[in-house]
Amino acid sequence: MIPKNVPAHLIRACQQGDEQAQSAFYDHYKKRMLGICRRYARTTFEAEDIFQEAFIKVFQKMGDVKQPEAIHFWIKSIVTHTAIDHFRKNSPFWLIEDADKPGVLPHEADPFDVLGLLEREEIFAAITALPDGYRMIVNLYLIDGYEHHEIADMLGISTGTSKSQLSRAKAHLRKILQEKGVTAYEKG
Amino acid sequence: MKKDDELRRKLAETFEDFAAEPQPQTWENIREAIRPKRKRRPLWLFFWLGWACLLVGAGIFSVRMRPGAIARGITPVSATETSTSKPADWSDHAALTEQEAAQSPSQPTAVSVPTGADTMASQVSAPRFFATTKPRKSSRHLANPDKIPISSSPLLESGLKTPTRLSAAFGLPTSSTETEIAAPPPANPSFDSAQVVALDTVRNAVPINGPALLPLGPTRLLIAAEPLLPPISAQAAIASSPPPKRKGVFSAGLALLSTYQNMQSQALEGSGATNIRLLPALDKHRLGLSGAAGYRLPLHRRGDLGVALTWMNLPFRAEYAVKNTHQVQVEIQSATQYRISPTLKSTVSDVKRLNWWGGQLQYGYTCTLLHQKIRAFAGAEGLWSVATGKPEIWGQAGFDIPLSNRKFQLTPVFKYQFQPIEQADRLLQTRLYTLGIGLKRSF
Repeated sequence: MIPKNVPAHLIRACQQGDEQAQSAFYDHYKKRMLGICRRYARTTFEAEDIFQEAFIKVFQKMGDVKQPEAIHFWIKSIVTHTAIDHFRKNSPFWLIEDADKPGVLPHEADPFDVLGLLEREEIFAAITALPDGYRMIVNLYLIDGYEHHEIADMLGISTGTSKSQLSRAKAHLRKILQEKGVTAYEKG
Repeated sequence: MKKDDELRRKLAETFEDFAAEPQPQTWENIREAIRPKRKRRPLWLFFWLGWACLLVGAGIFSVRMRPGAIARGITPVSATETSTSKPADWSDHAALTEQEAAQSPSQPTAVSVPTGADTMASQVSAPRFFATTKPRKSSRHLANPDKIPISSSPLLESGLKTPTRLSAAFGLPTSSTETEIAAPPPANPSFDSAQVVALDTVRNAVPINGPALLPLGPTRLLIAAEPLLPPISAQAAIASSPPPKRKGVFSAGLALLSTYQNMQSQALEGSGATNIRLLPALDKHRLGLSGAAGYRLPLHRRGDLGVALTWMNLPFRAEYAVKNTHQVQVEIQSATQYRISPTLKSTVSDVKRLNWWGGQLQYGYTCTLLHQKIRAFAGAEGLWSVATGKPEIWGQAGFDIPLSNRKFQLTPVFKYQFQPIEQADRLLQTRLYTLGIGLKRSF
């Protein structure tokens, strides 16, 4: 397993603009960060765009890093925020609540429970199929571990909206899983 | 909630190592974006730096050429050699010139310098002189004659009238009657009136040249400012020099200009003068107005042909004889950056018209400096007076620095004129220095 953090001297060299160090730094984080971008993006191309934009920000703001030991979270935070900004810019209505969308959970099994039983690639496919807003909430809450108030801050919405979006995302996810023929009891 | 937390933990673990391989091109793009961009040095910095260097250089040179440095080596001249002229009113000058022309050039005078004859006609053949009993206070006074206190004017002290003071200061013509009077002995033996005579002669002899500050293209628009430092001439300019187009381009400009002139006189060896002498330099600034209009037509595929008409008026110039200059310049430019410009020039005053002919050859070299394509150019111009056959030589060098939008070009130029004039027993040398900075616009 690749260590999350890089040596402090590599970060210092990056801060001084050393191209070799920057290349090494990039090589260290590129796959993992692109993985994050893939989760947030609809397509591979979109993920590459977010990834490139995020890494440019990383190198430009590298001088602000005071704690090299926390560099992994710092980069991850930049990538996440870049993804959010990307969707804000490109689809400004991605968080508007739509009455037509399923908002009430059916009484069947919780789709999140189902998610826990799926393979990674299946989960990834299901999340990718979600609309932008729901995909964002699911990623932020379920995978990246942000709380609702943090998500609210990041997206500029209220905590209640964050919760309701998650609820709708859950319903949408169930629909997707059902379309795929995946249900909890099948697994159970 | 607990169920949710468990799921989140599980999903986080599942996706912790979720990775994908970016395309190789992505790193190239990132590297290109984060590579520290070379800060484009602001062009105005070079503008002022270059300007400051030129000013400092000219200042140093000018200080070295100050009269004091030369006058120390002057051999005193006997007062008996000095003849004086009664000053004249400026308006009588035309009549005076005719009167002078009627006089014989060999008319004896009491001074070793030939006097009285046809100064304006030959412009150099015979000096005009007038009396001063004291040396000029300083070159600064000469440059700013209005600042000379009347009460302290040496000419008033010697009983002469104001016009003579003007003559001393401006180089205006001398007396209308040319009546010779006995000059009082010089108060300062190290500076005699003959020096002033010679200098005045030089001033009258100096022809004027057009504002060929910006030699590229037929159109020049110059805006000049008087120098802050007294002995230095500064010239800021805006010039329009349209690039050759298929159908040709017409353009016009207007200019104010200022130049610095330094004149010296040296007695010729074997001329009968008692000693070889260097006379003090006379520093003079000029401020004038100039206009130009031109048309440039492309020739074949290489080069172009430009025709320019230039007019210049120097109302404050010392050499009263020339008030206007008309110049026709035909410029042929080849693709190899050579420019050949046959030139016809006419200088006109209230009393005289002098025609000049000559040409200019210029070579330009385009190079890349500080990420800018800069064209360095240098050239020389020679003009000959039709009436006297006396030469006037110009040398100039400068740069064309394109600005960011490529429509404008900065053109700092240094120009040097040298005009040697041999008279009966002395060599008069005139040097004219022009510093310029031009801004050209292409249409």
